[in-house]
Amino acid sequence: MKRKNFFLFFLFLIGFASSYAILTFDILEDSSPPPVYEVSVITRGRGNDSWESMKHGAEQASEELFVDLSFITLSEDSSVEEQIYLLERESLGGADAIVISAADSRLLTPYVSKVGESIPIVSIDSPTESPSVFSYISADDYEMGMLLGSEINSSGNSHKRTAIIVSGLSCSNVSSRLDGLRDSLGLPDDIALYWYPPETPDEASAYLSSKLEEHAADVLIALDLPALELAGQALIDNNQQSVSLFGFGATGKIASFIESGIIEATIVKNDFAIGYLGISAAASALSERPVSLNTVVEHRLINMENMYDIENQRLLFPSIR
Amino acid sequence: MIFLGIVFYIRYDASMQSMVRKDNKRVIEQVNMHLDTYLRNMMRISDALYYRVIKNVDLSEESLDGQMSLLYNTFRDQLVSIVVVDENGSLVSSAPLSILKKEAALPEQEWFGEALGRIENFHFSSPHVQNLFEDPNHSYKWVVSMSRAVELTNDGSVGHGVLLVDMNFSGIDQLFKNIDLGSGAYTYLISGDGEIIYHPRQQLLYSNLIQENNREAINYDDGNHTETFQGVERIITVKTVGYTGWKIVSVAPLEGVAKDYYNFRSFIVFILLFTIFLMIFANQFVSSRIADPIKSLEASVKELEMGDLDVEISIGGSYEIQHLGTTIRSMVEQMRRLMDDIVAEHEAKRKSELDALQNQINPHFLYNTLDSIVWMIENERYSGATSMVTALARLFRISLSKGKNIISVKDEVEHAGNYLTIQKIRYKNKFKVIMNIDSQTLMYSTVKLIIQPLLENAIYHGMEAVYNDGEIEVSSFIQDAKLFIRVKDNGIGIPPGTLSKLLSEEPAHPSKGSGVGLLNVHKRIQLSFGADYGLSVESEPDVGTTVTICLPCIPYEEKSVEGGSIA
Repeated sequence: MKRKNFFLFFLFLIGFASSYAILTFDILEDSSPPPVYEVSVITRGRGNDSWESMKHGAEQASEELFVDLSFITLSEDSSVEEQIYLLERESLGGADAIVISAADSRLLTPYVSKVGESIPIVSIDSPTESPSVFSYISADDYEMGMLLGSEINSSGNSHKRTAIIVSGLSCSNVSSRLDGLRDSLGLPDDIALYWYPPETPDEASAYLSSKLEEHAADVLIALDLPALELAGQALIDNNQQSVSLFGFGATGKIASFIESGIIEATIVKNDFAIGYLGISAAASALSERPVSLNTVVEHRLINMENMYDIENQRLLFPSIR
Repeated sequence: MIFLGIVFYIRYDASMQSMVRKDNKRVIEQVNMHLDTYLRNMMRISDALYYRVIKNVDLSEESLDGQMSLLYNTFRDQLVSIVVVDENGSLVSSAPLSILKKEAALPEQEWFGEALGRIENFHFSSPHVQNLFEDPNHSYKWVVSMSRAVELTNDGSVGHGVLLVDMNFSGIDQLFKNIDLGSGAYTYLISGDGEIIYHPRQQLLYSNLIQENNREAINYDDGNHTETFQGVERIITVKTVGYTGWKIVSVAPLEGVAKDYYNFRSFIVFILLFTIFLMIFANQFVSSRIADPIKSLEASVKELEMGDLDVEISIGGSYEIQHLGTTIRSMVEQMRRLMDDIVAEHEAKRKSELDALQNQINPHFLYNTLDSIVWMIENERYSGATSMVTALARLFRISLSKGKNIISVKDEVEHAGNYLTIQKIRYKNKFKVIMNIDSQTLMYSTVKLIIQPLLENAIYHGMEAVYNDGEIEVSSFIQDAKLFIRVKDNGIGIPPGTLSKLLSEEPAHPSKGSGVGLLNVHKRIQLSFGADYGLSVESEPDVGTTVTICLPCIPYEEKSVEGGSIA
């Protein structure tokens, strides 16, 4: 055999052996475990069933996507100062990404933008105006408002005195609900009643009780979940069961109020999906995978008649386990 | 080899899939066993309550509450509630003791209708929210309801009722959630109508974030199946749970299975490639060991065919080929020797022939010259005899030419001049000689003693009948890259019959002289320089004869022409 051929054979043999070793023993394959990202979720309220459901969604995504989740609720609902503090604390504390539901869409914007310069920020439920947000995941709040207005109209309450309990309006998703509601009801601003309860629950309860004692309205509409719970409780406490209550959100208590006829209808969004998709978006942003700028989750109208429909059960009572 | 590799790979693939199927089946059997045990426990609770309590109690005399609470407290981890309802839908008893919701229309409940519809069976519902009793904590629990028709005794009369056992869904969840099938495989549970009862990503399914092929799976019989769902090929293993009509479905994506044996696959492929490579290499090695010596030998033989007798015959390879090479080499050696012998023989023959021709000249001329000298001495012409002897001496010096046959034209012309000197004395200047030699021709080579025979012919045959006005012209020139030496006389000429035979055969009747002449010169020139050269004779009776020598223009170099021909 020629020397050159032998050399080629030897070279090929070495190449073959190297390739075999690389493939068989995964020499080049990254055998290290996938990176674990630390993601913090900052809610805009205290713990309730809605946030709990969102937490379950976030936990499911964290389990699947190797995320070390830190789910943080506020000590009081819609506290902007606390959210700003938590935002900065989590950012400085080494969070790889932050998922936030803004307590005040406008006030929180500069802080979100600042933090967003260093780590990915994902908005859920309530947006900010910051352009540095990677993705916003929520239900279509304007459509939710429209749907509830439509239900109020169809239930024969359209010509009754209607009071809207205005709370959480600093969140632009809540203001969108109000817009949808107004458009659906056709309520001129000078006709509709707007009740502005104080921020603390006790004061808000007292405020609502006093209003109800005045028999100022036949139809009450609560724009957010805490207000709906407070209004339902106030109706029971004041024995004002002739007043029709509508609102947004779902908890066990609200389900109980619906079942007992205190609340006529509520619009429920899929909080589990918001939590799941929020973490997914954060993980995608960290892995430099494409992230959808806007994701809309489903919402449903729940009333006494349909609350035990199988699909509605799954939305109204999401904690199946 | 490739075929074997593919067969081996397919067999291994099938074997792996079969193993995965068996493994899934084994796991699913185990899960089924646990679920069966769990459901049997629930049925035992129901049986115990029915046969030991309800059957033995007359509701008009005794309440079921105590016994039911006792049973409930024993199994409270697995139960949400136990309820007995009469056939009218009125609550008879429940545990734990709770206030029935006003809105809870018991006869409208699905479990109620099913139990009274088929009274001999247990009925299992899909997971749903328990909504029968008031809960001060507004807590709604997910349950799986097991209902059956029972006989209730009230004041001695037996009527129908329904016994409902609401199992905590978390009990089923616990059975399934720790199953590990590996590599993306999972197990889910569906009801008889395809509704998901348990799924590891149940909430995602409920939120429509993912889909499952449960509606199709309900049609599968127990055992293994392969399906493609959302572009993913999966191995599906199905097991129907007794009593309930539920089905346990395990899903193993083939991609995950394939990942497990990726290393083996790569090993097979590499072994296959390596074996093919080794076979190719071995084949090349063996064929080159056989073919290369043959090719070398063939190349040697081809060169030999081309006439190269000095070629080195290649000898190599196996014994047979070496033997063949050795034989051919020996044959070539022999051929070379034979060729050398033939060439040497031919050369010797040529040389002897040339020498013979050369030797024909010398005695002929010497005889005549000496005859003339004798004649001159006898006639007391001593000065002429002296000149003649001197010319003869010079002539012989050139004739000898150190034994060379090839000399320069210059020497040959000088030789001719000496000869003419002798002959002019002999013939008393009966003829005159004109030498018209181109000096450029002097440097070329010629066969020696070729002009002198022509002059001799011109003198003997041309001048004999001529008196005092004989003329011989010797000239040399170059034309068309050839050297010409011409001897022209104005003698009596040659008859045409004789002229045509001059260069073709020996003269039939040699005339005065040696009998050799033109033919001798012609043959010597052709022997030395080839058939393209030689003599040409033109003659016209009573006008004269012109003999032209044609020679190649070969510059004369003393060393190169020593002793022989330069052709």
